[in-house]
Amino acid sequence: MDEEGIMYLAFALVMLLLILTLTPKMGGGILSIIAAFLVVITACIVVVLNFADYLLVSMGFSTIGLTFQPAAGYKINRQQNSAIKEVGGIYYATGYITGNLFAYEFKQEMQEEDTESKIIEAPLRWEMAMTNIKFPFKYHLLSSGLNVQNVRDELEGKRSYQEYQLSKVLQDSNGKDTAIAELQRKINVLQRKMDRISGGEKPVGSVMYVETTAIGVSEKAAVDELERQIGALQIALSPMNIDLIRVVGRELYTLFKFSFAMPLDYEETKNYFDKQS
Amino acid sequence: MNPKIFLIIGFLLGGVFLAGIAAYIPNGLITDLPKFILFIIAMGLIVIGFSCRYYSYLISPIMKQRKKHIILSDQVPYWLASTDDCIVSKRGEDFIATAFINIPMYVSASEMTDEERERFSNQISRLVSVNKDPVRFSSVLRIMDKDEYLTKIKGLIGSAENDESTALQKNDPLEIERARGKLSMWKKILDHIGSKSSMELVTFASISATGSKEYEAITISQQKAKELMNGIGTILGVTPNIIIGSEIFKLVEPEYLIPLSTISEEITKKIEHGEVE
Repeated sequence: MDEEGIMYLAFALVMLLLILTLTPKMGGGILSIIAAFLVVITACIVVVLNFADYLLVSMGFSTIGLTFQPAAGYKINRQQNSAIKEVGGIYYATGYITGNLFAYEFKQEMQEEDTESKIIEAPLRWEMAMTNIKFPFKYHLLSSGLNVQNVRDELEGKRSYQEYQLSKVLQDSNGKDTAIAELQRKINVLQRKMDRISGGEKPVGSVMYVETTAIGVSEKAAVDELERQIGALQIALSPMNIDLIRVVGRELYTLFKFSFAMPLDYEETKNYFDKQS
Repeated sequence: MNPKIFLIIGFLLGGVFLAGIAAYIPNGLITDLPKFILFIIAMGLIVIGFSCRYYSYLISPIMKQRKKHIILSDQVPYWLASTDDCIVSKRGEDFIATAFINIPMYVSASEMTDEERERFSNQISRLVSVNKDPVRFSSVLRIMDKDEYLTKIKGLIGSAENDESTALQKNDPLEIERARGKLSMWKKILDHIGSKSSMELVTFASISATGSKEYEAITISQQKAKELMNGIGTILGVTPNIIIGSEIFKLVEPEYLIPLSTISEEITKKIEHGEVE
């Protein structure tokens, strides 16, 4: 969670705490208990929203039955998982899944020979996946250069914090081996990232996603076909070690807009993608 | 300051204010119900306020329209620039122009050696960090539009049938055999090509630029596209080109991913198999 997220969460919880202090004035006895209970429920909803808003909000919209028109001629369906367009009686349903290639941390942890074999196999695996797919789809990689000095400073800060944690665990006579190993692993990952930047590699922020379009003579037929295509894509792309998660809710709206206009800087990209990718 | 922050603070403080009013309404049999209704509304405002972090764009349309189908925008998502070399959309008062660059890649991983594959993967890794501005690299697998080719073959079949009837009138066995051979060849080609859809893989990059005037955004996007093309050309050793005119629609619009003839063919098949009522 970023600083902005922590700030919003803290502010909302402080407001709820303030309201909680008012609950004794709600009538006393059972009435005050009910009011306090409502505050606790709201706090729980806020915390869940903070970590999985895309699931909770999409579920809420789906239950109410809300659909959206993101632009003329398009519609985001009730399940908030596809953008639908109708042209001449034919429905085109477009859905998205995240397509992040192996998580960056894991890549840093890999042995040199593992990385090499993955690099050699990647084009072959990609080609094999392509031959197995018999419907239209797009693989997108949105990348943006980062400020080298900022990234380096951030990594140094993180490494210092992990080193401090490690020294604390080492001082503790009951320090568990697993905790030490975990902290050392984190430090190694950060060090490798810093080494790569020192070696001249430009730090890049990226968002990868897969888009597929299905057709149908009705909206339902197109969405059903889309579900089938997404399932087939998840199977076809799984050998590539891709993190494949269906995109719903606000990120679907964002990716839909990306088809026509891209974000203009990395900060903007980062603000759009916080959870699902 | 971002207007959504005012929205968040407004809703959260509104929630506290309403809860305060509810708490200070005198207790009694008649007032207990309105007190609790007010308190529940206050909790709702807290949840809405917190949700504004990501969903501020929905708050105003939902409140104004109060319908199950919410119109976020009734404008076309983009239009083709008068220069034909990019698409333009509006974000607030600004214009955003997006240029598309074709990356011609005709290499097959299965024909490469391990060293070539490694080099290729490394080239792709370098490509990702080629630009400081956000760039989207995409691979599109789409169904080839063979309508024109099939019409040409059908024309050749017609001409071969004419040749056959002329030969039959002349009663020339050699000529009849030759015309029938030609006819059979074209029919076999038509059956083979028409029986299944062919896929094509297109790789392209897209980059956006903003401007307060349309021509300003277009000029900057073309400038950025040219810089990006230089980078791509240097890394991959290919000659990228800017995609123009209706070719852009093939990358943006869902209906261009599948040719109309393929759609009607698929629907016919589904009707035959009883999948469509």
